[in-house]
Amino acid sequence: MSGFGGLLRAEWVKLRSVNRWLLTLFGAAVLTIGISLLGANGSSTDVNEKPNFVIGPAGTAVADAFAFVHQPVTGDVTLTVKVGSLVPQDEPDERDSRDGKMTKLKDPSPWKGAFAGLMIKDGTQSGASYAAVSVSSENGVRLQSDFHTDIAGKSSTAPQWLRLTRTGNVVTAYQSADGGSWQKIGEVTPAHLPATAEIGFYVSSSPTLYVSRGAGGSSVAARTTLATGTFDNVTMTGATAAAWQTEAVKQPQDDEILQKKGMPEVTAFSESGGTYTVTGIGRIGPEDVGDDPVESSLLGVIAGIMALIAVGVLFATSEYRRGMIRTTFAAEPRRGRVLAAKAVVLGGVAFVLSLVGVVAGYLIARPALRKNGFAPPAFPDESITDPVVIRVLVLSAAFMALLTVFAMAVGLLLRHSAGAITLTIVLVILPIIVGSILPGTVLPKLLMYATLAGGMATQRAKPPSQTLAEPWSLIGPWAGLSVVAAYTAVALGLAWWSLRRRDV
Amino acid sequence: METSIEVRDLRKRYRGATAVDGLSFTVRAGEVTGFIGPNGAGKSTTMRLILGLDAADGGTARVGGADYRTLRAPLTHVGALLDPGAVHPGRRGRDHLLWMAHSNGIPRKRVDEVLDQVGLASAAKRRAGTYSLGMQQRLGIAAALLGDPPVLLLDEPVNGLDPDGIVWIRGLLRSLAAEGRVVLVSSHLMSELEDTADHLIIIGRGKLVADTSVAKLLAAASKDRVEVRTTQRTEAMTVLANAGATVSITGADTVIVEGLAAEGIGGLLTEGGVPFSELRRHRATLEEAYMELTRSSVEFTAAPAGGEA
Repeated sequence: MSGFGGLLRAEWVKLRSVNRWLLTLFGAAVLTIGISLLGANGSSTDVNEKPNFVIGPAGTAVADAFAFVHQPVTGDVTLTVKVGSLVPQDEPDERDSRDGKMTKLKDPSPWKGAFAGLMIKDGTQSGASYAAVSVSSENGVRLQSDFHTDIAGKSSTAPQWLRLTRTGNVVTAYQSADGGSWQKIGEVTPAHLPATAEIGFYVSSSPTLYVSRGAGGSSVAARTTLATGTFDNVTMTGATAAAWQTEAVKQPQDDEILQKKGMPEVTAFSESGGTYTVTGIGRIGPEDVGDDPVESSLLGVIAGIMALIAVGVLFATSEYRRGMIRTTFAAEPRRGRVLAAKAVVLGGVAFVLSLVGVVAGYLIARPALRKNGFAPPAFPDESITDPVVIRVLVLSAAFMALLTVFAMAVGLLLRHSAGAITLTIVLVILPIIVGSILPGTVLPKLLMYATLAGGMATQRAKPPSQTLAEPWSLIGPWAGLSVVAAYTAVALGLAWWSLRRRDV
Repeated sequence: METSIEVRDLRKRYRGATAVDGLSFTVRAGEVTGFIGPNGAGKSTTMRLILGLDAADGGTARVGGADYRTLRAPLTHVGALLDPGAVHPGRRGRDHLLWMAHSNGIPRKRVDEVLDQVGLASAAKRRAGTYSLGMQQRLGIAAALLGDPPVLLLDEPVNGLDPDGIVWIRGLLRSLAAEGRVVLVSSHLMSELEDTADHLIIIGRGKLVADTSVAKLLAAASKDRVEVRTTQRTEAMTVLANAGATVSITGADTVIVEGLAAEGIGGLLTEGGVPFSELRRHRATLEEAYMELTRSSVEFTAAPAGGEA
């Protein structure tokens, strides 16, 4: 009695006993590594030398610019304020530019938009440790700290009462609709809060980003925006109140940018009858420099795929040369089991070799990228043991393996090597080209959700982005892999259906 | 499992052309059964239908009482040689047998045993693409023998073998039958099976032409013909024709007489004063018998020059 295990061993012997296939399979791993290294040597960045960011407490790139009305306070303190209003700058959804029509970037980030609220900060230096509770123009009330911690309060808008309490190193935030009943939002512990910290109220306003994609590239334009907030009922307990000072917290490069754009330094502050009006520009939050160095260290995947597709197709079509398929089906008349065994063996071997390729490729290419400028602070060092890097490597190998099995199924359906290889490669490459050329984000995104090219998203460590030229950056890695898995399942289903029906 | 191949009313059409047309026969164990017919008569199609590779349009083909497609580890029930070229040219001969063995749970040592048995042990590690036609044929026979099956189906196994190989395969077929196996061997050349087959299934245009033992077929084809050797052919013909026999000339000093017993012929010739040196029963060759049977069913009538048909 022979089980499915026997069939697996049989298909494994078939696969390993043809030297040319073995060479091509190993060639896929070598190509993945080699092209990754070549790609890494060919790309460089000067983002760290000409930064438009500051370094946050965690050593990463951050944005930190806003209007701050503050005073130094030593020790524990509680500051309460009513945010009377927050008026962000209204920006159109589309703009015309030299690059053609640009669309406002829809960014779900909680760091985006205009903010008015309370802050305690380690001085007024841009990039210094802080905690802030504020009303935002787009995401309700937020408690945020040190450019990475974000706690959602209620989705209220101004007018809203806010309270910030410092107890030792811990900062607690509350909100209230009427100044009478208070709800706690949460607690944060900023990395560095000195005994004497600056406390006060602030207004920030993120620039509005406009993107145009298409014709093989993408361009992003940032429009500086203003926001105005009003504050009243300012009360501070636990400290002796001093005079409020006004300051525009700025990044070193902000002056230059504002000058170049011919904009005045707009940080207005006025007080009338206990009501303070503050106008601010600038953004507080993590800074994403766009490039994904993990993805950039895996440029060889697309080359490895080509070799794998060829083996996948030949593993299927060779059965039809000289009628070998008759021997195969005489040895196991249950054809579905033969198909399953072929898919498992080929997919397993392709996965292992792809994993070797992407792991080695990453380990070799990433240090080369680091040498070429993809280094901290703009590009924090990640480790191969980081969950996100493991995800990228495993999903990329899974993408390559699924594609190999897909190619095999196409080979069984078409029974023609050149046709099957061409069709599979076209199904991967053509959507990438078309997706790069198509304008906007909607059509390219749909294209990625609908074709094998979506699988390229497995190589991205960063979240989906609308600002990059490569169309697969529009979708997430799991979505991309699911598309390829669905294609493979359908192709295997069709191959099974056709094998059952056809004479051989 | 009872060892036999039973084909009942089998039908198969390919794109409008009938390949097998209501074929029925039974192949029994313990003898070599020749499966004979001109090229295109439907032999290979019938074998593919028996092996479940092609689906029949009607009728049944059962091996040992079962549909081939329901067999588990089928190589241990039925060994088949369909196309000796059906090996990946880049694959070593031994690996070709090894994957087949794995797929049916056949122990690895059987691979070396059958390689020895067919005389390929020394070439086992060579790639099949470097094999001669005869070596490919031997590898295909090794594959058929791999599962030590009680039923063997061999499609044109003699093709491409050298004279040594032909002697070898004849001995192999006889000994496999002597072990009580079902041995069905197809050929388009009756002469190939002259001294090998015990029983014959002859088909033409997808239909059964004859299902007979070799002995009966020869006896029927020989009828009561007598060969007469004489130096006076004309006189002999006159004497015998006058007595009502049909006489035909077959050589410079031989005639064949049909319709008279040998004793009567001797008497008539002596009476008529015709000298003769030999009188013997004419024994037809298998080839002659076959030609006679299939003449009507050759798919494409041979050109006047006449091929082997």
